[in-house]
Amino acid sequence: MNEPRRGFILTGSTRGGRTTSQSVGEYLAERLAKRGAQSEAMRVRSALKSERGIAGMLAAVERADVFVLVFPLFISNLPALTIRALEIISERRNGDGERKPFIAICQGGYPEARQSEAALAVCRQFAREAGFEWVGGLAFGGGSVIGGQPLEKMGVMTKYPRQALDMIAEAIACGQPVPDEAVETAAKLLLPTWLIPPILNAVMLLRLHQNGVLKSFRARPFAR
Amino acid sequence: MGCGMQALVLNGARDARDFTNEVCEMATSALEGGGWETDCYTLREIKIADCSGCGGCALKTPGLCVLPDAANEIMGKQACSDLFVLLTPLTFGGYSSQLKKMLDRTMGMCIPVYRFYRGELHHALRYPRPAWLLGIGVAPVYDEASARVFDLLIERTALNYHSPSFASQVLAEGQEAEQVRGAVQALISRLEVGR
Repeated sequence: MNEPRRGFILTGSTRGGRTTSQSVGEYLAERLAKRGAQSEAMRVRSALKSERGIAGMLAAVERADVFVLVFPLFISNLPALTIRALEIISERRNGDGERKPFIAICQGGYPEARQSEAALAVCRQFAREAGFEWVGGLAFGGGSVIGGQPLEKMGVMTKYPRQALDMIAEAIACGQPVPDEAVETAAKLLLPTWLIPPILNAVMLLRLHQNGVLKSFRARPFAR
Repeated sequence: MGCGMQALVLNGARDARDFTNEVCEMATSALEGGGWETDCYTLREIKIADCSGCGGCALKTPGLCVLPDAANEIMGKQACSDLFVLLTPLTFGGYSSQLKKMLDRTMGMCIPVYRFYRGELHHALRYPRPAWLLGIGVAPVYDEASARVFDLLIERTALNYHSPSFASQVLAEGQEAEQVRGAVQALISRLEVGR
């Protein structure tokens, strides 16, 4: 693997506005810039709106020395829109493009990084079928807590994801695969797992209350 | 087995020529032959928007998606099903975007409260009787690596839906109806239906 100079960061968020995947992509881009590597970013949501957007996405993939996909975990997998983008990239490349490095970064709402293992396996298989070189993927949980805010602003809450992304930036800049240490660091939790549900549930109950659905949130509109 | 029970089949075929459509017909016929009452949706023929990740199904209209298309009807079928069948052209070892667009819209099957389930944190279920999960991937040729990805994905999907059991198989294109029927029957028997 030669030393890459330019990264393409494709963000698989489905929502508009600020998203956590976007925050992750921006942090990585900043870190790459500090190491002298350029990067270009695009959102799947925007790219797939038009043929022009799709052409732009495909051109960006081919311009880049390394392709990085950042996406949120949806039902143990990539969001449909992100799968569609990968389908298009794979179909247009037809396995013939330059075999450039591909990295996948998954952020999930649940705390355990292992909940992303199937999604990362799909990404790895995409790399194989679409003619990229799989150089690694990592996952971290608790993405919903970040809520699209800049990672550095979250302080200690994003300590481990930031450390892992620093390692990825270093690896990209040096033309190396994603180090195991980055994968392990990203998976670390700040709190013991047993302490997480009470905190998350308290926050959620407050939001349900604020939305006026605290009494009805268990509704079963389709009960048999 | 399966007598009088409901099966929901989602067909994630990419287009009309996709062999997944034929597998879908064969699998549905096999299920009905086994006594299942079957609802089948060919997703590419139905207008279903991508999930916007707005959280409305949890925080605004509990259990219902706020987007006005067929997804709520299909989620209603899922809530009332004993067996949930996912049929897809194998796409990087996983689901096609056609199938996944519907799965993304089923967040309302859970409530926004976290519970430990099989050693992991998951959302609690909205409905008391989750369906068994059966996944069938269709590939031009059988490939061990992508079949392993598919098995893993079905296992993780089953965890998300709290399915009591699950089974999956990748079929190579060109199978005869009898082979598909045999595969479906074998998968059903692996589910240990009969709670």
